[in-house]
Amino acid sequence: MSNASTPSPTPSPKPKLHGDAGVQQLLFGDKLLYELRQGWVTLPNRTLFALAMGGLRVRLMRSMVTTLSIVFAIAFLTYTGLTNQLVFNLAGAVRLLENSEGVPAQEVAKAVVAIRQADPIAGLPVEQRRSLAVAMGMDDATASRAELAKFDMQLGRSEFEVKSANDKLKKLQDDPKTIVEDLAAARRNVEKAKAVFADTKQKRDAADARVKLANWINAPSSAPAADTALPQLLETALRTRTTQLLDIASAPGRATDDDLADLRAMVTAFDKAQPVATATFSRVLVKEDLKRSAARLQTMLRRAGVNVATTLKGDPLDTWLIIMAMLTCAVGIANAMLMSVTERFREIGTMKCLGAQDSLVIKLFLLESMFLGLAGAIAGIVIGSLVALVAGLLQYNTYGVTAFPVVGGIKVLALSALAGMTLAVVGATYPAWAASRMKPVDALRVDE
Amino acid sequence: MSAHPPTHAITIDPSADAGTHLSRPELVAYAKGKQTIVAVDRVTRRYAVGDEELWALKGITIDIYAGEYLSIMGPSGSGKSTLFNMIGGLDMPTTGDVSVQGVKMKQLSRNEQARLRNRCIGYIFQSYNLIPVMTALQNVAMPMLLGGKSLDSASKKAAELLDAVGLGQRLDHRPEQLSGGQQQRVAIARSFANDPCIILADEPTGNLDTRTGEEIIDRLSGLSRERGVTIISATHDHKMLNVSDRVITIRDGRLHKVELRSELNIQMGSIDGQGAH
Repeated sequence: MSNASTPSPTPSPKPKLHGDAGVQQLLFGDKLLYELRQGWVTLPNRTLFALAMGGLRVRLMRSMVTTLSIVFAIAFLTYTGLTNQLVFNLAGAVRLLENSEGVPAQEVAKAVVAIRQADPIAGLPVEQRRSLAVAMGMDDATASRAELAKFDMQLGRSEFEVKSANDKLKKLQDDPKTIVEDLAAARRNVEKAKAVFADTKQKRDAADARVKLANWINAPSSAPAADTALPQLLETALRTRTTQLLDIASAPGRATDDDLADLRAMVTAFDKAQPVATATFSRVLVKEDLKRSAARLQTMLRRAGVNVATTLKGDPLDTWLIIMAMLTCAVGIANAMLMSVTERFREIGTMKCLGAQDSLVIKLFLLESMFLGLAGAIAGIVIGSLVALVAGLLQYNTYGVTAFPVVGGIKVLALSALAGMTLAVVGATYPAWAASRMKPVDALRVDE
Repeated sequence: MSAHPPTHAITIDPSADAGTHLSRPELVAYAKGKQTIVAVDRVTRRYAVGDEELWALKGITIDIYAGEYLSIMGPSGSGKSTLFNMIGGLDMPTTGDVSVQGVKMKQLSRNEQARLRNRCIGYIFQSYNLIPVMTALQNVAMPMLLGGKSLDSASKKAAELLDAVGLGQRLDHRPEQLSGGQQQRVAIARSFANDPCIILADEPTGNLDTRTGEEIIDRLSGLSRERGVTIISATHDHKMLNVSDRVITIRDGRLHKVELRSELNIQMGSIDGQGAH
């Protein structure tokens, strides 16, 4: 029995551990050395990925925690980058609008004269007049109705005052002892009360006309067919408003938003008849809009703590913050990867025992870290962009969306993704190197 | 056989026991006509422990022959594990050299050593050392992947190997889902993955109960006979000694005793008793 083992293998009918060729041909001495020096078979990428991914999938929790630091850093980077771009865009817009020239006064004056002379209202068919009136808000009777009620009351009071002044005058006239001066004063009083009454009546009638007009504009068929005064009323109202608007166009800075809206309606209505003049007014409107936007924007920027001048020069504070965030993130990743290496001493030792080359260990750890970096960067970019968009919307209203950086934004996102990957790889470099340099025996000795 | 040098010897003579493994006619007869697959040549290993230096191996010379089943005995602290690591290329000797299949370990670069381990040596550990995040199949495929085999062919062969150790139904189980004996069977399948000539088994039954241990031993010795694989095993287990062709005993970093199976008295009390105090 002592010599039971022999160098030559004997075939066996039992299940075999060796699928095909059996024990490899015994290479010896220089032949083996030659084989070993042939260089390493590089692992196919698919195998490498499978190895790295397998580890990550199973250690899902830890991987996610490691990724979080990358997510935060990249989200911050993306948010800061996008917001910076946005503010830069907005500040640039403000500067541009502030510096832009208005429409020359002569041109406006010429357009005003042209409209005045042409009287385009006369040429408008009734239907169009009515729609212009609607655009100018003349169909809204609410305010006029309230005024009408007020004037009705005033009118009543005024009527009473006229009456009492008349009574007083009559009494004085009937009294033979009345002196001339008193009589004259009473007469003056009557005149005055009458004037007030007339004035109030006029105002009241105007309000009444406006109410009637509004009702008619809203439902032309409801008015009595005989009431021919209404179209006339409409024409007068439109003409009056047009005259006012022409004045406003000459000095748009003091106009209210309603005035500008009416002016816009007028420009649209007269566009066919007076294309040259209305084009001028359009430009006036556009410029005024821009100027107002700039003013609003500047207020928002000031409220957000942004200084237009320094923003356009580039704010060094943000750069520092970003550098700090990146450093923190790199340290976090290095720490996480070091933990991962320590946790896996035995695993690394086993792999080395089984023939893993140093470079493979490095590759595996870097690849693993790169996956984490990529995942973290993508998540960070999504979160950062969303936060930047929402913050822009909250701080700058719609300007935050319209001026949202697209071209510059893509640059920021690409940079963020690159930064995430770089951070992950840089952070994992030392741990991976340390892992690769471990002697298999040291790695295996752990916790034994 | 040799006198023990004082424990704090600063100088040692690595050649002192160089002849021990062929010191008797029976041993010479055993060696005759056999091919040396691992040659351990006057190997020493020194560790620096603080200011002191500690010689774990004080000069060991032994030839291991192709196809034999060799057991390495020795109490803990004897240098047995250190010798074991030297043979497996996991550690480098301070002086002396280990040759595997005629190639001196010291002349190999780190990568070439890795490749030698991958191609020529299969490892079985006391604590199994399976990679916890991988399934049984992936664990067995690992050495083949590291050797450059494609994922598909490696998986195919791994499945065959696992089938051969009776784990064909548990390919997708992870180590924590397997019992100790099953894990060790996975480890055995893994050690055979690249059809190595040498299997190094470091106390493979140390963490297993007696019956499972026996099963593992049967499998290993069967394979050794069947395939002509050289098995080198460190053990305390007398059942492993039963199947060994040769047993060497390490003591105090030196080769203490070499016995053939025919000379072994299978009363284990005496062998165990020699070691630890």
